[in-house]
Parts: sequence; C-alpha cells; structure tokens
Amino acid sequence: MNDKPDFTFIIASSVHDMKNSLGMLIHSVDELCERLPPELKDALNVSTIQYEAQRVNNDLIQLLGLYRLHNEMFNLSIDEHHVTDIFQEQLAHYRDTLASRSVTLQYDCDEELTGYFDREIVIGVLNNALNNATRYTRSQILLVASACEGGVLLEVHDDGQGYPEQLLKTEPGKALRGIDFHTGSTNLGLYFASRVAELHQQGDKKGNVTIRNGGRLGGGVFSVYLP
Amino acid sequence: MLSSFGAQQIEMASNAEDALEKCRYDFYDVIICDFNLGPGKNGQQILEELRYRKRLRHTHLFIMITAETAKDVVLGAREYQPDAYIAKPITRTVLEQRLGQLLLQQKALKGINREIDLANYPKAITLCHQKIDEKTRHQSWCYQTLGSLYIKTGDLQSAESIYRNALATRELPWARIGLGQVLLLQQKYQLAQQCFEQAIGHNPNLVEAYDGLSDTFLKQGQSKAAQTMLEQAVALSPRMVTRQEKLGGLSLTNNDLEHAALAYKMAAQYAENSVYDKPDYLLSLGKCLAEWSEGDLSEAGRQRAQEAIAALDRAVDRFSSDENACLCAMLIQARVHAGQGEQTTAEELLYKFECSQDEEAKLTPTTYLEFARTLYSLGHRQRAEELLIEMSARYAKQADILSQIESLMDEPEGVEARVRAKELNRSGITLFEQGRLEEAVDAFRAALNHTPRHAALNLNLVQVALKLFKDSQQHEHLKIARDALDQVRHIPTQHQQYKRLHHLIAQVEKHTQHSELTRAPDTGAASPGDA
Repeated sequence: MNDKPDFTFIIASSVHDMKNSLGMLIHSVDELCERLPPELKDALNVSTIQYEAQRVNNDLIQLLGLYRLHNEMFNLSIDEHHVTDIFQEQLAHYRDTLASRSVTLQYDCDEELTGYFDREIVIGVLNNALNNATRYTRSQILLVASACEGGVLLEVHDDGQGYPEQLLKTEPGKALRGIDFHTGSTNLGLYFASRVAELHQQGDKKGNVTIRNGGRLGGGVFSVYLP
Repeated sequence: MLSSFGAQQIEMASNAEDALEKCRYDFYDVIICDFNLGPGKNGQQILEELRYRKRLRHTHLFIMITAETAKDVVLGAREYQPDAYIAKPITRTVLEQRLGQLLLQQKALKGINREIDLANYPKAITLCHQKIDEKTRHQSWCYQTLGSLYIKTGDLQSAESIYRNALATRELPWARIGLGQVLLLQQKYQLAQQCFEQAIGHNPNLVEAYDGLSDTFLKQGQSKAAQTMLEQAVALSPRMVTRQEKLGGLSLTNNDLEHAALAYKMAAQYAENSVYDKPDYLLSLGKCLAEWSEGDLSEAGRQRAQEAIAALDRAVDRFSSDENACLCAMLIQARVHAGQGEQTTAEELLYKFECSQDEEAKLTPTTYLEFARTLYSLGHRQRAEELLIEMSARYAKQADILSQIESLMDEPEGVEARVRAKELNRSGITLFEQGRLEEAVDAFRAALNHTPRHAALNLNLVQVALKLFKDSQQHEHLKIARDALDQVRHIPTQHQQYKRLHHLIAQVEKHTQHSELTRAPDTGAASPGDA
C-alpha cells in the first residue's frame, strides 16, 4: 500500500463536508427569509444569495458525482417517474428566485408522460441547466418534455443569446477539455450531465446530452435524452 | 408551514419517544420524520418500530427527511420503505410539491391499500386490475403491488407472469428481484441465482438481491457462499439488526468465529434504541469471543477476552431485569476467565451462579445449556454430563433443545477441535469404505483425540474394530471396541445414537463370549456414519 494519501479522496471528503455545511446555510437563509417582510427581501437582494448558494451547491453535488463516476462508485437507482412531477418540483424550487429576476418559468409536458431514470440525479442535471439558463436568459424559460425512441427527451429552452459558437462545436462528453480560463467557465455541468445521461442505458440505447441554439424561445436549448 | 398546505390537525413530537407515544394512540395520515433526532432513536428506528408494532397502515404516508447522504444511512432507511425519502436542504415549496404528489397518489390508491391493511388480498388484487384498466398514472405501482400480493396469496404462477411481463419491456429492479423471489419459492435455485445476480449486475446497491442470493445458496446447502452474500448485504446496509443476527448465526454454522463476533457486535450496536433490541446479541458476542480467546494467552487473545468481559458486563448493565440473561452473562464470563487460565475467578463465578440458582429462579433451557457448557469448560465433565442427561429427559419432546444437548454432549470442545475431528472422521469413513481398516482405526482414534466423547465417532471406531476382529480374531481389536463403547455408555435414551450404541454393545458382547469358539456370521451392519 502507498502511504501517500489519495488526493482526490481528500478533495471529495472536503467537498462532501462543504456541501453539508452549505446545505445548513441554505436552510438557515431560507428560514431567515420566511421571517423577513417582503420589502426587506428585495432590498437585501435575498434572491441573489439564494441563487448563488444554490449554484455552489449544485457544483458541489456535481463534483461529488464526478468523483464517484471516476471511482466507479456511481450507481443509479432507476425507476419510473412522471415528468410533470419533476417539472412541477422545479417550478416550485425556482419560483422565488426567478420571480425576483422577472423571469417566467413554464413547462410543456403531457400529464401522463413517464420516463425511467434516477430521480435525484436527473433533477440535479436539470437544476444545473436551469441555473445556467437563469443566468443567461432574458425573460423566459420553458421546460419541454416529449416521448422519444422509447424514452424521454427533456429540454430547457431560454430566450437569451444562446450558447457560444465554440461550445456548440464541442461534444458535451468531452466538454472538460475546453476549460476557458478567461470566462471562468469550466463546462463542468455539461460534462457531468453528459456522463450521467450515458449511464442511463436501455437495450442498445444510451442516454445523451446535446446543446443547440434556437428552439421555442430562440435562445439556448439544453436537451437530455434518457432511453 | 404545514398548516398553510391545508392540514387540519397537526401534532409535533419533539423526540422519538414522544412520536412513538403519539402513534400508539392515534393513526396519522402523514408522518414527517427527520432521520437525525439527537440522542435516542433515529428516524429509521421509528419507522422500524411503527412497522413492527403495526402502527403504520398502508393508507398512511411516512416521509423521511434527512441531511444524511451516507450510504449506510440512506440504504438502511430505505429498507423499511418510507413512502418518500427527501434530502435536505428542503424548501417549503419543494415539500409542498412532494407532499401534494404523494397525497394525490395516496388518495387514488386508497381503496387498494385499505384492502391490503385488512389482509383482504383477493379484493386488493381485483382492485389493482381495475386500476390498471383505468389506465391512470399508477400502473407501475399497481403491477408492483400485484406481484407481491400474488406471492402473499401463494399464486406464484401469476406473480411470475407479472414480473416477466414487466421485464419484457425493460430491466426493472423490482421486477427482477420479484422474479428471483418467485423462482426461489418454486425451488428453481439455479434460475433464482441467475436472476439475483443479474439484478446486482444492474445495480450493486440492491440489498434485497444479496438477501435473495444468500437464501438461494442456503437452500442449496452452500452455507459458506450464503454467508459471503449476507456479508455483502451487511456491508451496504449495516443498520438492519435482523440481518446482522442472521449473519452471526450463519457464521457460527460455518465455524467462523471472527465473522460471527463481528456480526453480533454490529447487531448489538445498531439494536440500541431499536425495537429489536435484546440481550442475545451481546451474549452471543461474549460467547464467540470466549471461545475464540480460549487458551490463547497472546496479546490478541487477552484483548478478545477483555472485550468479551466488557460485552457481557454491558449485557448485564442494559438488561438487568432479565434474570436469565444476567445469569448467562455470568456463566460465559466464567468461561472467559477459565480460558485465560484464571481458574479461581472462574470457579468463583460458577459458585455465584449456583448460589443464585437456589432462589426459585425460573431458568430457561438456554441458561441450563450455558451452565453445562461452563461446567465442561471448567473441567467438571461428569457434572456437565449429568446435567445434560437430566435435561434430555426434561425436554424429551423439544427436538431443537435435544439436538443442542446432543451436540454439546458429543463435542464440548472448541471450534478447532470440532473441525479437526470432523475431517479425521470423514477420512476414517473413506478408508473404511476402501477396506483399509487398520488405517481407518487410526483416523478415528486421531479424531477422538480431539473430541473423546463424541458418540457417533466412538461408535464408528467400535464398528471398524469389530470388523477387524472378525477377520483377525485378535483380542487387541476387541479391546479397542470395548474402550470406545465405554466413552459412550452415558448417553441418554433420547440421543440419536442410542439405538446404535445398544446394537453394538450386543455385538461386542457376543463376540467377547464366543470369540474363542466360532466366528460369528456377519450381521451386515451398516457402514460407519458421518458424525
């Protein structure tokens, strides 16, 4: 055995710890906000605190997920879920944050549409896409789901400027190679989403992630296909 | 927060005891429970106890909320199947959303769940089929429920077709495990094994699949493999006390004291505050360590002995009102001391036990067996045997106790001696079958060096020696047979070898009387049996 500690393990443990602390922090902030009068909420820019905290939280969750992927400790618990349940939960989750930014969030999905996937993981991926969209959209975000080749296709549309040309050329699964130190963008979210989607397999079909511009609102479109 | 969702009657419990107390008198539609409740019971133990006491109906919702993401916590809590498991941080809106979804589902399925609560399974099955025909969003739930209902009612064929149909479209863990369980019940062990292995291949966290595999191996007599599978299940989800206990027992069957001790230690640890708590885990831990440390005066042996004493002290401390448990603990402690060469302390404890025995104490057979084992351990073989013979008569109608008495009487020695004796006995039988009688005698005698009072083993020796005598007419062989018989004459009439003993006594006597006159005809006695 090598006595030298495994550095990735140290990082993962720290991240785990940070995530738990942040969870407590987010919870405390939420509780604090419940007691604040509405006018004070706006003045204090509470939604920014919540948004940024959530963003860091998503990042940490992803980091942990990537660590598990790396060490092949990642196991999905795949079950049947109604997509509208997932979307409604996201609507509820992001309602306050988006309202304060004057962004509307809606979804378009058949009430009976179901998919087979790991609920927590896919919610994590969508949260990340939503966070991203929140940042770059102008006024609207639309969640769209449809049946697709025996599985489901989940999409996040926005009406922002869309993804940069360079990113569109990148394969999401290889997105990590193009770390941009100027903008600080690591594309970690895209990479993670792509890896997680690939873990969803059914027969000879494999999940995937794509990004494009245009879509229903003319901005960026993030799609994840889960067979 | 909840009242704003429209709940009419909300009660809060500030700790686990309070929560369970409330549930004792009232049923709640929805129970929301945090995993971490500070000192005392945790959320899993509350759910466990509610299920155990049947204070949670199928029509009710139990929602577990937790900040814990540790795998053992998550998998453990999920094993008792809360209706939902929500990770913190949880916002008001998200809770509202999830609760809303769950309540809608609960409402739609109430009819079915009510019949299940009433154990009216055929009606529940009919309702499930109706629900499926309505083509609502609860199809998957209905199929899953149907599968388990068919198993409950013993209609394995219908259960099998439910699972196979579900699997025809895609790989679903519940259907794969369900199918495995059906195949296990149908005694199609190979297929069941494949099924569980396939489930694990898709998701190595499926604890039930390891349970299923373990049972499958056990049914096929592969107790080592069964133990390995349970160890894997326990590694994933250590908090299930019942599984730890099962693993402890299985390890003991396999003469694996180390793993047995570990399992009982974990069982004792996680049973604390649990509805499944009992002194047996600590006592079993003490017993394993007592045996393991016996005669081992090395540092490791001393530590195990100390650990045994500590575990048994804890048992007395925590279950002081359980007289039999306390007495057993005392007896096992005496053995630990004896095993470490502290004969005086051991005798003192034994004396203490005997003094307390007079006081009209109602001792269980387990305590008596412990007493006998301790007598052996402290070198009082004759007293031990007298006690066991007396017990055989008293519990003549209880097969399980008789078999425990018998195996203690045959082999009061430790695991190592038992394993050696068993191996030597086997090779003795093989040699006998090959006609190598002299060598067979040597093997059986070597085995008896380890377990001198083993009935079947001694009788094996008698039989071979007798056969040798018939061929050779040498008195030396007859003496071997007679000496071996003397080791077994004490066994009570209830002993399984009793008939064989008396048959052989007659044989030996006949040969002794007629040995110098004629060669007796071969009686065609069966070949020696396995010990």
